[in-house]
Amino acid sequence: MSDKTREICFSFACQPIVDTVERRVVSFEMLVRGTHGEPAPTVLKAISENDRYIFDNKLRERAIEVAAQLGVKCNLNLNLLPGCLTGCDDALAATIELAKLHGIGPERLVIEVTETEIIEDLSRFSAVINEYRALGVMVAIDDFGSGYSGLNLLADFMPDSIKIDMSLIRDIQASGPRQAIVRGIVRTCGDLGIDVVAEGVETEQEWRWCESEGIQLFQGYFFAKPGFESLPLAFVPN
Amino acid sequence: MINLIHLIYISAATQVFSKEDLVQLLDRARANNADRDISGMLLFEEGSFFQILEGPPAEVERLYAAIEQDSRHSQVVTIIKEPIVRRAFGEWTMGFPDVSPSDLNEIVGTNDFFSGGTAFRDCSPGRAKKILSAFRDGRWRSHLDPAMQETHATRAAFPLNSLGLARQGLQVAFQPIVDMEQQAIISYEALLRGPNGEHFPLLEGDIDEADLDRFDIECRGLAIAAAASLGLRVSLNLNFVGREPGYSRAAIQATLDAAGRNAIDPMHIVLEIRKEKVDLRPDAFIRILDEYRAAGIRVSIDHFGAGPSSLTQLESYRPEMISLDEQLVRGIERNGPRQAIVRGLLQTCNDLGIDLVAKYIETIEEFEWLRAEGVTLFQGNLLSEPEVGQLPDARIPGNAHELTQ
Ligand SMILES: Cc1cc2nc3c(=O)[nH]c(=O)nc-3n(C[C@H](O)[C@H](O)[C@H](O)COP(=O)(O)O)c2cc1C
Repeated sequence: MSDKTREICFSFACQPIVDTVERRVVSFEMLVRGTHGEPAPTVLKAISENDRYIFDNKLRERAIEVAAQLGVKCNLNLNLLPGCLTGCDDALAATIELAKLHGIGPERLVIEVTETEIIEDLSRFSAVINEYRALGVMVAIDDFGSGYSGLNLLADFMPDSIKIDMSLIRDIQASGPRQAIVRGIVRTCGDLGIDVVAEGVETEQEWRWCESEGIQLFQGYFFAKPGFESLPLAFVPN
Repeated sequence: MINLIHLIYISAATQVFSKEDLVQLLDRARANNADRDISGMLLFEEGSFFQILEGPPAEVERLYAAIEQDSRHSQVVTIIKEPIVRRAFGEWTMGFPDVSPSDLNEIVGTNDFFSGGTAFRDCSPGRAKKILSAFRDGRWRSHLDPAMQETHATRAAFPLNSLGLARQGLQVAFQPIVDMEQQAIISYEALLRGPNGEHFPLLEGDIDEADLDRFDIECRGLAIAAAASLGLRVSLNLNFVGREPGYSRAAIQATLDAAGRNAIDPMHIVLEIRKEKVDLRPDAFIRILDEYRAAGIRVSIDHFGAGPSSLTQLESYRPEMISLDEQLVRGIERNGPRQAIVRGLLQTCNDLGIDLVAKYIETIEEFEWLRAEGVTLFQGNLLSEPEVGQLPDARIPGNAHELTQ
């Protein structure tokens, strides 16, 4: 790691993922922030290209420490650059060990990756990640539907959950195409037993439309903004 | 220049509509629409409105803005807004299915329109009609407020234009796309072949960057001329280099000119696009696609489900057609994930009036599985191999029946 990267200071914000049917928080996604809560890009852009993967591991470790300090009882969603795994097979092993030390078992870890990232080296990625899945770690595909089609991906690599990209959720109650696309996704995932999370939900109408289609996991400002170094309460209307 | 668009939406009534209320709404709508050159139709069923508006873009948008604000309904959901070549409901300033307002009693349920009446059959085919069919089949209704609801080359023998390509011996093979519902060939995909009928895997770099524009245009011209000389009566799917230049204004004009010279109706041309070859920004790309559309040319996303095709493109590019990627259909009868993916896609496409073509079909098992799920459009060696210099017939799998165009 370069000195420049080593000096980067950062911390985390936590945003809940809620199950609105069971009315409970199922997980917190750990989102990187500056030490004063600055948005993620201020931290990430400071990293030199060569250090991306090492730094990514460091991020996850710190995320676990923050979550443990805050006393998270539910699952933890952690972001991963798939290159980390293919570059270094045991990248996740360190994460898992550290989590265990803090009393967080692997079955409570959800690793988030984007479809575009996975597809770069799919076979290698699935081989490595599947070893971790054997330990109980879950995998979520982030930003689903937006980038590379995640469709073929689902045939070759089946995640535990997908997070529907917020561009598809935005104003869905008024957009026929988005509704048709999301219905298709829900149908496919329902058939495959893949959990569906609607991301970036900002309004009650967006939430109600999704819920009426059978989606029960949500994340977004409507329920709770990310809390800097804190576990925010989630709001779920009746 | 886009002269005509259609806009389709659904909404939920916020009040109980009596006959009189509907007649009043319609009278006003009809008078206004006639003045504004707007046609279309309005359906009202158990508290849901379904309306198709056709007309000049500015007029349609202005009207829609007013309609959206109308407090007699809410939950207005836009299904689609796109350029069209001709109206599907040209005669109707605002059709209220097939019946005069005095018979409103009978039409409130719209059954007449869909089953007994001839109006549904008489409206021009196209996306509006497909979405209308989806509505008829119960789609688009579930979200309304419940309270308000009750290479086998026979060498080319076609006359070629004086194109460089033909001189280099490039040829075009054709492979049919079959509609199982109509039991008919609805289109031929044109595939580029080498001088000996060999596959023509055109690689980047085979052609100078500077020549791509011309090459693409020539390919289309070659395919159009070949198809016309063979007596094409159905549609033609064009799928060539598909590089950015192919999406230029000049290419649009050249494609239309080639169609004109060969007496092929642009409405019979389907452009198969592969986004990864296009470097244009999405909005610029969409503008170009819309220009093709305004001329009647339809757009298909090829290899859907693979590579950079994304679900959001179904919204942004509004294709009339998509074709499934080979990987998705291969051995689908024994592959659960592929089945689930195709089921979801079918649902999305049905809802949006997008035709879904199952391409690369090689086995009877693949065919039968897809057919049973409701896929109607098929292409692949099981039905017919591509042939140079002819528009080949197709075999209906599992059946001795042969189809000609
Ligand atoms: C479901 C629905 C469909 C409508 N369709 C039309 C229409 O096709 N044309 C129209 O002029 N007004 C239509 N309206 C009425 C408009 O919202 C608005 O009241 C009307 O254009 C105002 O006309 P005016 O300016 O002549 O008073 C519709 C209203 C509803 C609720």
